Amino acid sequence: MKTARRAQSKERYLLRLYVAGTTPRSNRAIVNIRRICEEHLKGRYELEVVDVVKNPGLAAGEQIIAAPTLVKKLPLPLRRFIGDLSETERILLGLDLRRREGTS
Amino acid sequence: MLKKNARSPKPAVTPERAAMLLAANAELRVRLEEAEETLRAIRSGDVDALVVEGPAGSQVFTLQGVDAQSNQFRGEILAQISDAVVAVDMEERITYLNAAAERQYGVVASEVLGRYLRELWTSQWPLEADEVAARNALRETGYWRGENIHRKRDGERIHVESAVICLHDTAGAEIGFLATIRDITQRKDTEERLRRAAEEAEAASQAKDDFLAALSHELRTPLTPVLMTAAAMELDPELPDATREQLSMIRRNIQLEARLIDDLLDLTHITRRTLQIHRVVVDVHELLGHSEEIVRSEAIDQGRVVEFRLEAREYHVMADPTRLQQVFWNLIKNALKFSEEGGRVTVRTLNPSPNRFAVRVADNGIGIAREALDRIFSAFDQGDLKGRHRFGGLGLGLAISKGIVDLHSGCLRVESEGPGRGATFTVDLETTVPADNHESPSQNLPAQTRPIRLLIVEDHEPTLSTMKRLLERSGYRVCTAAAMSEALAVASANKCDVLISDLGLPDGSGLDLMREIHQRFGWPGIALTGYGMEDDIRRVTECGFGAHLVKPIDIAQLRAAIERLLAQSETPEELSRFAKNGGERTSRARSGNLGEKEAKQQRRENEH
Repeated sequence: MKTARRAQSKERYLLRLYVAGTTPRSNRAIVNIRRICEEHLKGRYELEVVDVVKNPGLAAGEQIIAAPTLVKKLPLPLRRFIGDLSETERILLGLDLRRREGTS
Repeated sequence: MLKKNARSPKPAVTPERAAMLLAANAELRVRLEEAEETLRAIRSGDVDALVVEGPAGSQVFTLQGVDAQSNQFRGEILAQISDAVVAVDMEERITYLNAAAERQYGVVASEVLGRYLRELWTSQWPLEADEVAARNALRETGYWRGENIHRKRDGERIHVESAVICLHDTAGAEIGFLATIRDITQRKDTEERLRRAAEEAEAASQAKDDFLAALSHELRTPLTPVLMTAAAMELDPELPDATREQLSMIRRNIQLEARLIDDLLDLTHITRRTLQIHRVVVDVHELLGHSEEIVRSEAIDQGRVVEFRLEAREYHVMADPTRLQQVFWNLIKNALKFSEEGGRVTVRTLNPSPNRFAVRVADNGIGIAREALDRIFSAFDQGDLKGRHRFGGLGLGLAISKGIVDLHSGCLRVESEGPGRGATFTVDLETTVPADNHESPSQNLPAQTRPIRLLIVEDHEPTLSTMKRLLERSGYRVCTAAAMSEALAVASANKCDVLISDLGLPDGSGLDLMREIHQRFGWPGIALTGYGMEDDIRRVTECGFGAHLVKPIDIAQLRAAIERLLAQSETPEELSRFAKNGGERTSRARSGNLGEKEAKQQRRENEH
């Protein structure tokens, strides 16, 4: 099933980024994830930015405990990334957009 | 790290169950990793806020680092600022925009952060070179400020004024740009409206000037033959005195009307800055001496006293004598006009400081209110006297005088202590060193009695025949032609000394005729025009016309112009030719006095 998904390169991604206000870190997180999406998922992703200061309830529903946090809602499984998302390689791996070393 | 595609089934369980357990295990490991990562991030200060579940629902606790206060302060400034502020990285991806930028471009920050700047707007430049210059400035100086147009995502175009600086990291490397952008569309629209209004006003003003020029031409043309005839008949000793007096009245009134038309034309030239002056060394005391002769009798007639006190020690200036005389006459005429019966006008010259010469025309007349002093030099303005019609004229004299004095790099001032307390006008000019034996053109107007041959070309028959008659009476031999072809034929058959031609001929231009005649026969010429326009004058000079007269032509002026041209073109051979004529030609010095006086009389009457 996972192998099949990786082969399916046209899979749509649904991402949600939780930020707290317009702090420099929030801005950086948005800039970083959008750049990654534009480079690797152009045309097949949806990025939603949620401000937990304005909508604390939304964060609770997702069991978010810190901001900024990126949640990969689709494709499953759910994945979370915390911080300003500046470690591009780690994010790419976590989003399943890079093959891990030692696999084929 | 767990390999997602690991396969290691154990024999104790079914393969399906084993796979399920493994998957669950892998998922748990990932969750654990995420939890650890969250903890690590919180510990290392990589998060801004924590969401805590409590009995009252979720609460957000923001975490602030050591820089929090200054960061917040900076953030508030940027949020509050009314100009849009946008930052981009080196690839022009948007890394920051403030609330004003969100409003200006109709976006939400979270939607556009990380996007390319071109997705927010596209710049439009008036010139491609402007964009290149902006990029060069940014590269070379790290700063650019300027204006261009931003086309927003919704297609709307706004004029903006931007200040862009280059951003550097702590190591000094360039990391992007920060732009402060002000929407100046409204200001631009206002400027554009003002510009258009100014253009329209300019066009209207141009149309008015053109109309005035054309009008004065049309008004003056019919005056020429009437004026010349009246002037000639006035001098005819065979006519009864009463008739000659009436003719004199007719001539004076025609000249008065011509003067009014001239004023309109002068004013047009002054407002267009096209008034031409020809500066020579002028003895102002001599010039004022002529004025004195003229005004004294007139002042006495009007029951006023005019006193001349020529006290300046240096009294030579570089000026156009005719124009300067016009200024003095305007000022004296005004002083008389605005004086009461029994009033006194003083014309005084002085040197207020070394190298400065001043003429003060003071009266003890009705004076000028303080608030009217500022606009006393405006055209069509007679102070606060509007609507009272007590004073004749169009109110152009002072505006023209001011324009003329300005053209001489001088200064025309007015002082008055108020209504009923008189007024003083001062013309202030720079002095010059008098030339030795200098003869100014205004004095150089002798009459001729020797038979000089003239070719007159004019298609307006009454003007042509009047000029012919008057010039013949003055002792010239006159050939005439009504068209260009006829003129060329006459010129081939009759040797003449001077060509006098109208500019607008039925079969061509007087300019072409002059060029032809000048080339073939070398005669100097005098152009007659109704326009008196600077263009005409320039073209006339280029074509070889030696002089230019504006209709209506007065005969003394014409004679003076003929004499001047001949004096300029005189060669030793020509002089000896005249000598052989048995001294028919009177000496220039003697005849000059007579001609000058006549010419002055004519001018002075014009000025009335």
